Amino acid sequence: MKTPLPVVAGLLAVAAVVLSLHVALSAPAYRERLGRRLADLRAVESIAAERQAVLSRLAGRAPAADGELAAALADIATEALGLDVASIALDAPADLAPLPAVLRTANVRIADAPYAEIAIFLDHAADATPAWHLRSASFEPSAEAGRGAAALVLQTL
Amino acid sequence: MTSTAPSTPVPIAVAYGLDRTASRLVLARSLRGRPAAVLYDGAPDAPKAAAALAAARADVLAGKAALAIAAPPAATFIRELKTPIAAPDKAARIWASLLDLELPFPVEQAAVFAAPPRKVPEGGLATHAAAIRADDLQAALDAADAADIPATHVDALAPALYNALSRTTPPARADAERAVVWIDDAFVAVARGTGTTFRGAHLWRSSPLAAGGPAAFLPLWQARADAYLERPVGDAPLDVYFAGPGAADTALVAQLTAALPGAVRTAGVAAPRTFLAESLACRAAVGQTWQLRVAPVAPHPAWAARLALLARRYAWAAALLAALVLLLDAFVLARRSATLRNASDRIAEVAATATTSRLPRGQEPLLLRREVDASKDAFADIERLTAPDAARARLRDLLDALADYDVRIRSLATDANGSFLLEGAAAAPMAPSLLAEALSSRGWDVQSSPAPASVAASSATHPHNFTLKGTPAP
Repeated sequence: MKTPLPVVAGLLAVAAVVLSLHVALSAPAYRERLGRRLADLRAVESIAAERQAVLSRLAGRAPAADGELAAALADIATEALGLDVASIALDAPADLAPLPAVLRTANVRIADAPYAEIAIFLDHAADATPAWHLRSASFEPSAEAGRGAAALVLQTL
Repeated sequence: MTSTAPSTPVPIAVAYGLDRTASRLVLARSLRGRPAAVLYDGAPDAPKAAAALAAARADVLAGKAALAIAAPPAATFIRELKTPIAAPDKAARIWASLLDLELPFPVEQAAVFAAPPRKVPEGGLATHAAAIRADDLQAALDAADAADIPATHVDALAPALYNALSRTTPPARADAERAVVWIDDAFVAVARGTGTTFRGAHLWRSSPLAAGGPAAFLPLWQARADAYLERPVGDAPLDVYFAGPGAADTALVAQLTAALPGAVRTAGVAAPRTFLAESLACRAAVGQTWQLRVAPVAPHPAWAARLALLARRYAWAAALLAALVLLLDAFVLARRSATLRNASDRIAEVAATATTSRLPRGQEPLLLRREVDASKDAFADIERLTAPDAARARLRDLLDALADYDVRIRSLATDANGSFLLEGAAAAPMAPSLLAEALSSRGWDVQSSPAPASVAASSATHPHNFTLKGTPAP
């Protein structure tokens, strides 16, 4: 059966009114959703930028083997403190996932040395590649002023 | 039934005007009310007349045009009606009753048209109404149908004549008293007015063009001309315009003019024979017809077809408009959806650069934030280990400061932030506080406290035990 044109026009008009109302009434909800999504985008961009900044600091760093690291640090200790004054022990590597880096921790025990030489040892360790950073230090002075035993914790990436 | 509605309630592009008597046929056509074009002017039985009429008829029957004729003037009554009522809608309800008093037949048996009312100086409203007995109108329409004339519009003659005068020869002043004298084969009609406003109509039921000729008509003319062509008050003359087939006869017009008493200026119109047909066409094309083809007389079937055609067009237009609105709405919704999708895509794209994990779509910000929170320590370690070693510098500073004072260290501990805890013994009682001041000046917040009494002095040379706790000043 053929549908009369006025009926078709009427149905289309009703549909147009209903859809227009829907478009108008849903506009605030749409704006809110879009606002939330743009806020999410800004947050994600901020996190990405933060991560990018960290990654750029890690650029050019090559991980070294445990043996190489310990030997290099021992050489620095011998040079600064003398032979067999310091003993060095490396902790197991700590993965900093999801960041692409491995944290290396060295425990350095110095039996007895002048504080000034211990400071020189720290300076040389900081200038080495990779550079060692002081995590903590504790000193037990000996009877002679200006020297003593030290327990140092050094870290590098 | 009184009709005050526009004669053409729906727009029409083309309208024909037909002036037909036994001796002549004039057919004019107007497009959207523009000056009408005369399609035929001649004998009614000529082949060209039939062809012109057939073309017009085809247009009308197709619903593409209207065709207007004049109602028989002898059967048409035109009256001025007045009421003190000022509201047009209320006045419209009583025009029929007032007209009923003026007609020689019941108004219910007539087709009536009332012009839009105008305000009168003394208050209230006035209008002119035309009425024709339904039987007379039907007879005229039957005659038209018999001659293959599809008359969709039936106009009142006198208003059509006066309207044509206003259009073709506009008055010089708004209060100019004017009249059109229409000399037809069987009658002479007068349409009176002021400026462009129609005021009334008069009729001689004989004509100088009839069998008796001017000689028989002139006495009748002289007898009523004074009343029908009454001069206005004051010095202003009455302007009388002759039109109709008889107006071409200058000798006849001169005779009629000579018989007019008082101050009268006479003139002819540009096209006296086609004057009426052109006016009928123009009025129908712009909805100014005093439409007398109203109930109880049925509208012409062609006009009903026209209405149906227009209804279809309006329905199409409405359907197209609605479809356009639907498309527009759909476009808006699609665009919104695309905008949200693009934002989500961009979030996923940026999130992919910030992590190696696969994050479910839509949860990137939340999961990424969790990941960042979980690796906060790793970030801190990397930041610390890639920056200059502050802890080492602090330790050097601390050792340098200690070397300047005569103190013995009992224990010293530092951490990655540069904080320290120092326990020692001093030779002089003031040395710990002096050392604390020196460390403060090097950038520490230092808290100093004497060692508890339970702690024995380390040596005779350094009897004053102390504890200093320092943190880097912010």
